[in-house]
Amino acid sequence: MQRLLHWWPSSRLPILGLLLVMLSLPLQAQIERERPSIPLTASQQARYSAMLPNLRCMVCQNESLASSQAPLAVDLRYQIRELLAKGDSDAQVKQYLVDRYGQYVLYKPRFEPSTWLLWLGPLLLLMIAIFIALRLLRQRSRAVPASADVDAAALKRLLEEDR
Amino acid sequence: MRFALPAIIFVGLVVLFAYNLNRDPTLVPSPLIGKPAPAFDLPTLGGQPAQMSVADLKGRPVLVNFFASWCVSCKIEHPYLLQLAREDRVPIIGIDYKDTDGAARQWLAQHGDPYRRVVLDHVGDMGINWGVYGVPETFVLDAQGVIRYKQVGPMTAEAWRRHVEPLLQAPQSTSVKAPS
Repeated sequence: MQRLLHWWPSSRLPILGLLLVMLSLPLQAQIERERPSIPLTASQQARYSAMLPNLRCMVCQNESLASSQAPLAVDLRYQIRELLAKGDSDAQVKQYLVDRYGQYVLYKPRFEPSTWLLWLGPLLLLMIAIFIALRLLRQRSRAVPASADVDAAALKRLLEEDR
Repeated sequence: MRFALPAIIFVGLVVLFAYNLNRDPTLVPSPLIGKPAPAFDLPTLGGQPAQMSVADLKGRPVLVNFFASWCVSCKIEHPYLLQLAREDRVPIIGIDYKDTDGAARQWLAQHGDPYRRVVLDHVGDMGINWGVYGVPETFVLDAQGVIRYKQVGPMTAEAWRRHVEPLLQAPQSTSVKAPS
């Protein structure tokens, strides 16, 4: 890109921009192909809207199914509407996706053997931190000498001398 | 001794990072490995036979390759698929994913056709059932129709050597033992 900009006369930069936009048009065309939406009842629609932000788009993995415009996300939204209209529960819809794409589609993975480390890891780290902190504190309290036998008069004399 | 713990943590992090450096974080392991290939019943390109279903994949190991004429990385792997077809290593079934007949036909005419059959998944439902999240993806099925491996992204000579070839060479009895 840097080299391209060097080579391109700066007075024609808008033209370069236009060319780039034209290049992206065929990609746009891929997105448009959408099937007619499946009608849902009000409660199904509410469940649909509540579920989508918690599901990961497999194509652009930092986006949820609610926000992604990737063709696969469009297809999966259609599929989810179909399942909900058919009367599937939220759990059944999620299982449908997990069966095909794995736990990874759930932003909140289930608690099972393969995700134990994920769920309990932070707690484990906290326990290690507490253990280390306690050990350090104990060492420090042992290192401080007992201060009961300080000669108060001598201390006062020293302080005064200093002044 | 004071630096023992930081040193251990440092070495641990170096090992962790070195391990993950060569890993693609966008790869997601398929939950379908070891399971029977999901059902489908779809028209084929050229219509010989007109329909194809999951039962037609059984009998011998096959490669099931999802591709599309609009897919850029498919062009990268295509020469390798052609080579595999030439050497007749394993039958390759193409799944034309979210595409049109005409575009697929033109694409195959232009780049060569390594496929035994091309199944048309124009809506993309088969792709969803097979857990496809981007083309190209290639599944290795054993003779019983069980998915043994999935390659996300272009099939390469290295992936073939490391993952596919051992599966094809393994005695068939291994897959018979596991009830599917």
